[in-house]
Amino acid sequence: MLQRLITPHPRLRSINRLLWALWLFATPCMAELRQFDLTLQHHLFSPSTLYIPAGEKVRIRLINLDDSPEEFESFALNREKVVLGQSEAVVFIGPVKPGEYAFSGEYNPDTARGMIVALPPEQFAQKQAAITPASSEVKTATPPDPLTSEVSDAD
Amino acid sequence: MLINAVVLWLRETLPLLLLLSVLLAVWPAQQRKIVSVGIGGGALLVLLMSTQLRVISAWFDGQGLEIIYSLLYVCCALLLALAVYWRSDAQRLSVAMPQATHHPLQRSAMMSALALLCLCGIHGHNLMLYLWVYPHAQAEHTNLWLGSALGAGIGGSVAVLLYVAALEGARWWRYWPWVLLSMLAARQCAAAVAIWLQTGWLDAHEVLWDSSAWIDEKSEYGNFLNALMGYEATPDPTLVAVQISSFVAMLWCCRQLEIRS
Repeated sequence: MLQRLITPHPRLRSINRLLWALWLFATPCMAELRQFDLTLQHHLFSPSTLYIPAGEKVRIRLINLDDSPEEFESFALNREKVVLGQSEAVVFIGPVKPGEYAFSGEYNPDTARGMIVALPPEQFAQKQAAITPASSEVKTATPPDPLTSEVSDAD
Repeated sequence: MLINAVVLWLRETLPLLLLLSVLLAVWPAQQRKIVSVGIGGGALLVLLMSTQLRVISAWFDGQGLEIIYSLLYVCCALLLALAVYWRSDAQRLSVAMPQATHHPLQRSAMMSALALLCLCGIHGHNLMLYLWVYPHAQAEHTNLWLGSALGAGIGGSVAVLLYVAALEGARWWRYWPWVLLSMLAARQCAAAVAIWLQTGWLDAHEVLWDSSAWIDEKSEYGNFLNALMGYEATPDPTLVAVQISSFVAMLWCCRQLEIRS
């Protein structure tokens, strides 16, 4: 039985090669996606409303600054991801239609909640133009790691 | 905290209990083996994963846990298909060599138990995270365990109802338990695809429809249908395609039972 399970069938070998090729092809594509940061601290998401462009796949980096784990969950977006304490995780979203998509922390649904708002490209571009340089909604360059950098007490 | 614990337990235990109930209905003579290997082995797997949680989570750019979960979902579906295949072997042998049916039946039951073990690893691990890794305040412990008991009780009740429905349904339509098993196998494949969409390994597309106005995913019916057949109110086309094709493939495997008997 074990022999039959581990001996690769010729068709399985070609499927295996195809999967590896897809993975290698997909990896460079992922690097060009827009990235947005969503920080969790004291069981509160920041920003509570995150604006993303509609019709485009985006990458959301979940940063958990609390010591306890949290499960990022969004029924509207079909996403569910556990983020351990003092760590970060990545979730891919989209392309989605313009609209509002609620998300929450499953372990603290009363406090850890927010909304992802997908804007049409023109509105998103206007929103981007209105964002101050200090804001961290969009990062195209690699951001400093908040887990290793000093966190201000004022936060 | 109480309601949260009930909901969380229900969401995590319902898929596991529904699979267990259908397996017990389909393999009545091997129930003890299925429960001991599936649940016992699953508990060991959960312990193993919990001790290496940080290490696993750091794999593949923070997506290690998702990889493990998706592999377990796929293994669960494949093991269910193997279980049906060996069951059909036993069916074929029962005609020609009745004395030789013992081993294929045992193998088929073992495959179904291993499928249960895979699912137990996923949902048990999620529960472990919530119950033990997440630091609950002392005052919340009573509500936590009460909610857990309620959630497990509700899930168990639904599973018992499904078990009875599977047995009673088989009296009216003998394919009914196999249809249930096919839906459960398709659900595992859909869950794996959902993870791959989330991690970006598969490209997501715009959803096919939005049926949340009819059956909300967060409602009781939505939770039940999600646990049974992977219902999503806003499904991705890839998800729907995989669900349908895996359901049909599993039904084909089950059909072999009929042909070989």
